[in-house]
Amino acid sequence: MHTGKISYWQMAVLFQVYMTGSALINIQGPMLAAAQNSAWIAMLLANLVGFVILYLVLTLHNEYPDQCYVNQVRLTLGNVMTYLIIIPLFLVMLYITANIVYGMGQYFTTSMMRETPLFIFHLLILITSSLTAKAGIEVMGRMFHLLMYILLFIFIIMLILPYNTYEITNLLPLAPQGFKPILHGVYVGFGFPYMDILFFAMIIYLVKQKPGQSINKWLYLGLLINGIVLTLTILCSLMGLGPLVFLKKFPLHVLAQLISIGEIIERIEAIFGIALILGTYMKISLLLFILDQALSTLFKVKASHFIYIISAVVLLLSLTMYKNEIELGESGSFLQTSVTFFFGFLPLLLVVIIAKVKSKKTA
Amino acid sequence: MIEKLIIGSLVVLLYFDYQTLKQDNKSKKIYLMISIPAGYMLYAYLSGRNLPNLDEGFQIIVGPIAEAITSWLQLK
Repeated sequence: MHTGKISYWQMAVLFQVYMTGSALINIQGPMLAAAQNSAWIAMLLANLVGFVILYLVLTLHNEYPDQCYVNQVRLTLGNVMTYLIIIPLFLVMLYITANIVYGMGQYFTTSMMRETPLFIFHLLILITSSLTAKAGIEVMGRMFHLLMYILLFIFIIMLILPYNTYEITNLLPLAPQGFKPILHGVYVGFGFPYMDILFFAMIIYLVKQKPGQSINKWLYLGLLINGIVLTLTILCSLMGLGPLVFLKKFPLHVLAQLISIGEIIERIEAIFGIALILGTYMKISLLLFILDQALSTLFKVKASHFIYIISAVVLLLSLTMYKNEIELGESGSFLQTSVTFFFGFLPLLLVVIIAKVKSKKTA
Repeated sequence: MIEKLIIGSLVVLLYFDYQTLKQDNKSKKIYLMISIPAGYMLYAYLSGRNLPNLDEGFQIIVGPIAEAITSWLQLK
């Protein structure tokens, strides 16, 4: 298990960049494809589901505040069940990390740097992220602080500058095909980004506990901000692009292309690329750290030994798993939710229920 | 060619990383255990073969359920 400790604020920052990081760029396309005009409602509802997942994670954290999720499962269900639950979850985390890496790579190879081979992007981001993860949670806590401000600044600029293209009437009709598309959007949002909250349970214990204070309110607030930010990106994409938005994989990129203020500030989609790299870099760094944490705690060995080999596995997975971006899109919006539900959510629910029953018996 | 050179140098770097584990035999075993799927995927990538992968594994296990849910959600 890793041993570094960070403050409440740093943990809240890490949670924010972890949840918002790559979702800020990747969620609009699948969400709009699933829920059409009511995608922003679906986003808010998915955020609500995120609160349920966070509640379960924090319930477990309050029962065992000094343990990561692997040890929480071990203390609740025993050693054998821990292997049965954590090994599939480890594979799910690998799969999701590879998906995020591929998502970033395909954005660059389809919209900005078409001649560059895919593996260059994957390799560079994974080398940087693995070195950051190896530096530890304290370094990430300090470093991502500044990067989060940059990311949020870019996000605000991207949403404010195309103000002259916004048409509020583009939001209507609100739900022309009934409630099912909204449910479909919630289904997509559950798998990505909200089931990622569970993986964060591996590192919540690294917060420096203060008497009379709790991390809970920080994380709930972080999740609320995440929901508002992601909903705003969908609302602005809908208002700015109208029906065109449903045809685009990265609506924010197209929105950035529309920015034109006095013929001076134009075509700033490169800044969108910077935001994408920043968000993905922070998310992957944290995921690599979490993967190493899960593996080292599961097998009870020293932490930080496996970050490089895990990065190599993620690199190769991202290069071999999909033949093209269509396969990634299908996997992300069709398979990911079911995978995370069966291998992540159901075991989490079981562990929380048993932990509660156990604590009531001992009380 | 450059791609293969880069991947070759990565394999060498991973070998050095493995060597830093020194006397920690348990960690060494786990490291080797993870290297097996990595080697399999490296073979798949370099040979250009379309071998079974993690995504297909998940497709087999939860694919039918995911398909049933999404097709119900997409029904007008």
